[in-house]
Amino acid sequence: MNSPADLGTLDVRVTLDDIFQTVCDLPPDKRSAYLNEACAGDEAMRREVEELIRYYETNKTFLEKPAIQDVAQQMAESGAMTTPTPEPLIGKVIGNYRILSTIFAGGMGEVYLARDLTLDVDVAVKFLRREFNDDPEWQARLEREARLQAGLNHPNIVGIHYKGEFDGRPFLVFEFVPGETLKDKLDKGPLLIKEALPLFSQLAEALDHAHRNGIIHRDLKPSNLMVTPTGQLKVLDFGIAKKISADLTTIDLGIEAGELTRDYGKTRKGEVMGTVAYMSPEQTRGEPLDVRTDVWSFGCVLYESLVGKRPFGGINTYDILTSIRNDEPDWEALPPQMPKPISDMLRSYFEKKTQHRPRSMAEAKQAIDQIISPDTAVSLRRQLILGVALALVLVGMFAAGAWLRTWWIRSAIPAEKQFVVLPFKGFSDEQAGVGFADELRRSLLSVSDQLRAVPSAGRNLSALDLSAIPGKSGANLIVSGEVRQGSDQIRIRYRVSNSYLYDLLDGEISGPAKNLAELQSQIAEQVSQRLKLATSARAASFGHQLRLGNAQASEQYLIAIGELQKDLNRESVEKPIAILTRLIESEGDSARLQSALARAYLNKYVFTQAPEWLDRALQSATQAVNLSPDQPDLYQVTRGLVYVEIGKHEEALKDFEAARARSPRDWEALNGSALAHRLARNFQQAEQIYVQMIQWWPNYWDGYNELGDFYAEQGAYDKAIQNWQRVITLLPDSPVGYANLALAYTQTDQQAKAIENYLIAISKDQTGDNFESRTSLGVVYFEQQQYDLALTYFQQALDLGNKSGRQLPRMFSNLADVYRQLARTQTLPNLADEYNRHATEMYDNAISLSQQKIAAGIREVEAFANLAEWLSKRGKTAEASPYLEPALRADPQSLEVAYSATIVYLLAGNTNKSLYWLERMACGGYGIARLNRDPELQALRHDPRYESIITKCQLTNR
Amino acid sequence: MKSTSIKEVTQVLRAWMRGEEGAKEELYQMVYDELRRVAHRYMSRENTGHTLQTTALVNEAYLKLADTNNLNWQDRAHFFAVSANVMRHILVDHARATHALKSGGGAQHVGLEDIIEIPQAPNKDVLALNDALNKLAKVDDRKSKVVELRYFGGLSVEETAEVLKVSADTVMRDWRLAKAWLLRELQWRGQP
Repeated sequence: MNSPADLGTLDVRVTLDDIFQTVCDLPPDKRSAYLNEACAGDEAMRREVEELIRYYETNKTFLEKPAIQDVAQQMAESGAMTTPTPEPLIGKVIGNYRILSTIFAGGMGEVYLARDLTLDVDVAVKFLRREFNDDPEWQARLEREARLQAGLNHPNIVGIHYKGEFDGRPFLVFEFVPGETLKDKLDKGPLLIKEALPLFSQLAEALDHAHRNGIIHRDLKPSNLMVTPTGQLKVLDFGIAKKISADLTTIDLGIEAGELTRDYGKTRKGEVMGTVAYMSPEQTRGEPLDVRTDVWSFGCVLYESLVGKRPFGGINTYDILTSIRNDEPDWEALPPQMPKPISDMLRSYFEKKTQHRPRSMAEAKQAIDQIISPDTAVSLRRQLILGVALALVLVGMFAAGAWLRTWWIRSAIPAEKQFVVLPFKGFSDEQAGVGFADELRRSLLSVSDQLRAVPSAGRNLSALDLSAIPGKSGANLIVSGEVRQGSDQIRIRYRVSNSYLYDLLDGEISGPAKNLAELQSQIAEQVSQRLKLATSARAASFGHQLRLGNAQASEQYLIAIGELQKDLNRESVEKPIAILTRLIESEGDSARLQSALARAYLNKYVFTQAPEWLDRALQSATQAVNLSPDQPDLYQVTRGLVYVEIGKHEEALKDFEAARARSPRDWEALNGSALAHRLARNFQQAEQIYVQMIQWWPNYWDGYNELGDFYAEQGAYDKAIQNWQRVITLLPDSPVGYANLALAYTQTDQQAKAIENYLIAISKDQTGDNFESRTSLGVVYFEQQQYDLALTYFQQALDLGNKSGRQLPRMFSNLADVYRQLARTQTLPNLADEYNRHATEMYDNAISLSQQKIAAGIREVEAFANLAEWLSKRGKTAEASPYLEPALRADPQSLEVAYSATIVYLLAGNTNKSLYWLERMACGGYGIARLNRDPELQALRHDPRYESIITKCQLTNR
Repeated sequence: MKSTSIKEVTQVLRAWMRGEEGAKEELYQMVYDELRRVAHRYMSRENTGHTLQTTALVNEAYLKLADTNNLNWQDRAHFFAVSANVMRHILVDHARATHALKSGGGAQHVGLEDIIEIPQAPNKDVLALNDALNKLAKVDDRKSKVVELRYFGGLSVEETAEVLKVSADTVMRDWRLAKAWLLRELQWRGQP
């Protein structure tokens, strides 16, 4: 028995090993003789060796590829196995096209030569492979390719004619490009310089066109470049191209799923690495990409075309990736007669660090054209004077470049300037970059009144994917940049791009890091000058109002500002207060610090609802205004926001008007004014402002959100629903739209829809501390008398509040309401007592929190009404009326207040008054079905007048 | 997001070389975590959710952890040894998990399959190869290490030689015989 385990003892194995190795190296005809001799007398050993050799010989590729490649290979093959035999499409007429022959059949699909029967020209028809038809990923890919390529119209980019579907299979129709790919050409050997340069001039032009349209190709390689017999170059395959996102980069994996499959499918081994070989270092790391990834790949293809081998190579993927990241190409291999501008250009294209690499393909084209144009063509005769000529060429290039740039900037600046400032990169603390952006936004707003801006990385935008910012904020100017910090000095690079993310201008500024705020102002001034903005009459020296002693203080300040932009949580609430208080102590008082501190206190108040913070916010905000006597309006927005919270609408309005006089298109000031008008019950003015905001920022979700809230407050739920649906479209991943929509559904008695939307909102709540949706969902269940579910969600809301340090009276009163109903419906007296005890305790908590608020001078009508309601439910009916009466006087239209009044009077035994307020509420737009269901109103429903009121209101409401 | 830094990897590697207890487990965990982290990041990007990024993500994790600029050759060799072992475990774990799943097996298994979907086909092969390798290790440990490093770790002959502190020639010889031996072993297993 010859078990493979029987390798025997150590001695035998060594011998066997030796014999085996020797036999392996011998030619087959000499093996037998050797074995006879070596295994003399040991037939078992001989059989063993022969057997092993046989196995070894039969499968030489066994284990030769690393496991991970094997896995990938098997995936590709398992995909390939399912490839159906090509469709018998040839000869068929599909729409306008008669399929003539197969050009190419591969992993992703097939490409056919076809005849456009109307125009009588040849076209290429690209089908997706059948099994990908149902795959949304692939469909999206085809869709994207069609969309991106349709947006490009350039003689050096293959044109797309049509997108259609045949027999359930989507297809794209492209212009047919006769000729061969650059890869086919290079397979025959490298190109001469004079052959290569005209092609690369065209490639540079094509890429420049794509880049200006905000599209990066990401997959440049010789097999994606067609060369026609007349020497025209066409870029193919935008299948993995990408529209560049907001921070001028795209966050995407270099090797996309589809790409791997396609390459595995299309080619045999070795070609996989072809794709990897042209990747930029940032692409190999899966980092954010911008146009400069194409610049790198352009360099790779140019180098390979001239040298005949790739600049970065290796025997396996790891080696290639390592080489891309670490190695210099072999510069010696470049042809000796290589023009210096081209080799210099190549060197700059192979900068490992993206930020050191040029981004403009237009300059590549210029550099190449200078060399291939007849005047400076490299000919033998002119070689001697080339040095001189080149010097002149370079001078010319710079001049032309400057002119081109000026022209381009002028033509590309949008007339209506709406900008967004993205967080600056390079700070040791990311939050400082957010703070820097917000400060720069204020500086820009203060230098020119032609600009308008949405809060940059603020709470309102924080839920957005960065890539969505130009679209969703509606901004058409995007300011971004990065800093480099030395010990005391700081260098700031900034860029302004248009909504296609093409750079309009960039610049660099440096100075002592402690003067960050001044540097910001300088950037704002430079940008405004270079964009030819009229500076406002009182062009602000916003930055000069803050002087900090050292670099560290500067950074601390920015971190505090950055934290203020974050979603509210315990840390983001506490941290800026601590930092700013410390800075005021060490650096002395200033308007900027106080204003920021006021915002920090305001956040703390919003978060905790503890009134003392509102006091402090007002103190700091007022201090800020006073500390800036010559330009108080710079700080009035902040104070206005505090006044809105306090409920002092006149004061708030005054502050916001002053701020708007300075920066008419400041989102915060506009939004604040609208809120103040709402408080003042100037609903028409408020609505006008909202409509104006939406006109100015049609793609920014918050305008619709605020307007929706406004309509809901008016009881115009259909309009509110419209606006909130718009919010969901613009901001699908945030709970905001869903939660608000659910609220409107609750009010319009669409309970199922309400529950559904609340559940979506809760599921989209990434911070996990959104108690509002849980509270509201509890209310829906409460009204349906599903007390166990109501209890669950109310308790969750309270727990979340406790966890994050937010205790709102509503959290307690809701639970109390449930316990109260449970006690009523409970037949076991002991249990009923227990529930009543809970209810009392919870009402007491709510009452005491609410009284604190009122004692601190907060004049929210609802707070008064609620307090009255809770006191009544608690059994203290006599104490309720001093709170209810002022609320009713202040806002008799409010449905909330009317509801509280109905309950308070009902519990006090004053059925007449209770019915009066019921009628005002029912005819004022409160959901009739909700009233009919409300367990609190049960006693009232027994009154015969209830029915007639409801009927009457139903008629009037209709 | 906090990711493993090169310095930490180097420290743990050295600890492992000094024979410190638990260092190997820690290193294993680091490599594994890094693979998972990279994979998660890929999965969370738009247009992903695909099976075919295995190569890319392993490349990235490898390169990140084994950055040749930051690891000296000695460290790097050891690192490769560990990552080869980790790769082997990952593939085997995954094969087992899907195998168990298919045969209705029970235990909830958390492994690479949470992140990337490795196709079903090679599972049986991987498991058989793993068993055969274990068997080979009993008769000739070094040969099984050579296979582990070269096949699971993707190391070149030279790198393997460096890790095992033998000559490249020896690696080649071991490699040949091990392959012959494994082929035969797998063939035998294939026959019921």
